[in-house]
Amino acid sequence: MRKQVFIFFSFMMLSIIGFAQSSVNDVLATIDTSKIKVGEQTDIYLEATFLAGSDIVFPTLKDTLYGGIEIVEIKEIDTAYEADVKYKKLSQRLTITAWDSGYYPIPPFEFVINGEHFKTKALMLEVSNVTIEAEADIKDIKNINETPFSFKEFFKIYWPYFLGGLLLIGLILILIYYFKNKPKVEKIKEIIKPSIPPHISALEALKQLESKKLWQQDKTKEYYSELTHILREYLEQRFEIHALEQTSDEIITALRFTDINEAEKRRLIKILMIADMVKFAKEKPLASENEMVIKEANAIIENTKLIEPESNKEEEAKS
Amino acid sequence: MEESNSMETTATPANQVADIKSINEKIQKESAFVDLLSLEMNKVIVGQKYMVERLLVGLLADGHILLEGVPGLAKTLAINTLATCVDAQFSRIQFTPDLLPADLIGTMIYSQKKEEFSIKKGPIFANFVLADEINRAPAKVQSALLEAMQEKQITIGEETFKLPKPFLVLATQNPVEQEGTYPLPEAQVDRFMLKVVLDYPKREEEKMIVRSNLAQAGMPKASKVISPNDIIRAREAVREVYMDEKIEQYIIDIVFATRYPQDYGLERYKDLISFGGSPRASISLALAAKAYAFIKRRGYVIPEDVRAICKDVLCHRIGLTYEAEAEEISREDIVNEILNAVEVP
Repeated sequence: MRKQVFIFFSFMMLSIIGFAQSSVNDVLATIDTSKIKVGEQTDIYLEATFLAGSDIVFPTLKDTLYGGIEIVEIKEIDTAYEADVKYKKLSQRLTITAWDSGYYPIPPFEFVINGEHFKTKALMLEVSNVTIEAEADIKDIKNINETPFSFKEFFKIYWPYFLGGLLLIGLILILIYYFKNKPKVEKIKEIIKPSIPPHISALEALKQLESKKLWQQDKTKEYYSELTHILREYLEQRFEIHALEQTSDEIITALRFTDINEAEKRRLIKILMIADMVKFAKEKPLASENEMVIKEANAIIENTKLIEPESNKEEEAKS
Repeated sequence: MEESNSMETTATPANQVADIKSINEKIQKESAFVDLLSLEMNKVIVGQKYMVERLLVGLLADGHILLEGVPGLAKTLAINTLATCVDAQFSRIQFTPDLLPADLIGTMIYSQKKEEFSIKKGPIFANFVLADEINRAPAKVQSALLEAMQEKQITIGEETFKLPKPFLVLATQNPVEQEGTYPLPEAQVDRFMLKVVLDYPKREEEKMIVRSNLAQAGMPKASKVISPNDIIRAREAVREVYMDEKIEQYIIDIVFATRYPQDYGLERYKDLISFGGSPRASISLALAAKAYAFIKRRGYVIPEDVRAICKDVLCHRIGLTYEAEAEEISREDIVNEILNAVEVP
């Protein structure tokens, strides 16, 4: 009888110790809400309480749970100590969702503590469709919600531009400061030699042409070519027309818009006409004509030369 | 004094001068019909003096003409009138995508009665041929025409036929509709001596056109003023028109400026021109300038003649790069710039 009582008490003690030990290593899975709408999200909390220093392995999670339940986010495992520092509590939050309506059983989560397997209770998730008001009017798509402007967020994104802008302003200020305080160097006056007026160079060229005695050597074509070239060059510089690249007719037309008088224009037409005949039609003018054209060319230049006012000359001399 | 006398002696006409005078007199005589022809044409064609003048240049210089202009600018009427005035055969070919070379040059037809092939000549066998909208026909038809233009003869089967003299092709292109067209390749375009771009008539000229078209007596009719033989003789005279070496040099300078613009102070155009005028361009420019001098009843060419005809001869012979197209620079702008940059003799 005594032996039987001893066995009974021993069994009772072992049961109590076993129970005490199993309550020390505790695992738990809870869900925020077990009813969601399609696409809505809810959280599952996984908790494990165990003796500090124990080896624990949390359940391995993929991107989906059972069926069509998607894991949107897996948070880091959080550590906490119970009031009694002997026990440690680890917790983890999972955010889940589902895209089909129905009842989804969530199987127990399995933890391993010191090589021993512990399972949580299974959970149930009910996913319902959004009720559609079939008879209601079709409504327009809602506008995009505008979040209030936050300078902090704006700066967070565009800070390199702010920095660049500040650097640029700084650089401009430095340059302004530098140029304002730069020691002034006295400008050396450049003495520009006055260019030879067109009438002087043209008259000189005519004199040289005359001294070459071209037509006297039966080089009438060369004589007229050079003569018209001198005249064209003079007209180009004096009246700012592209006489060198224009035909005789075009030169006469262009001179219409200048201050050349009719008498000089008639002289010029005469010379150009004779020159064209000599240059392009093998015309051989009389000696008197050859002499006349150079005289006429001289007269045109003399009568159309640009006379500078005396005051300008005096100013130039002073400078 | 002695010197002066000797000068007077040198100034007296030499053989060369006599030559040029005789040429001048000949041209004066031979070109007498030009005014008559122009007057006769102007009776029918109002406000297209430029086109009529270029038609005469092409006719006298033995060069073909490509006309570009919107429909209704009297292109067909002009060549028809010219054919009437010259008393020549005229034919018009409307170029379409389904046209075949045989439709143009002719073909061999089998006669069941004679049990042999006989040759049926095409519409190209005429003095004046109007190839209307040449860019509507495929390349094989275009090249058949252009070959005939160049060779002035046609081979059908095993037989070769000379084309009648004078032979002038006037091709037209419509610049507005480009869809479904076969643009003429550069090498083919080069065979046209002139490309004339036509513009609308002036306000007053258009009023005259309306009036003459609605007149009770009907449109004025041109009558025959010269014969094809006169044209052939005039062509020979055109070749005799004196062209001085200076003018030749001027023509060469202009054509070279289209090839190497940087040598003429036109560096800007170096990258805008993909290819310049060919030696055929120089020949055409010289010949057209001679014809123009002939029309102006002169026995010698002056720079004005070259400049007057230059754009019509050169514009279609210059290739533009895509940079030029992007900058909206036309061939006409380039030729104008070249004329303003090359020194006139």
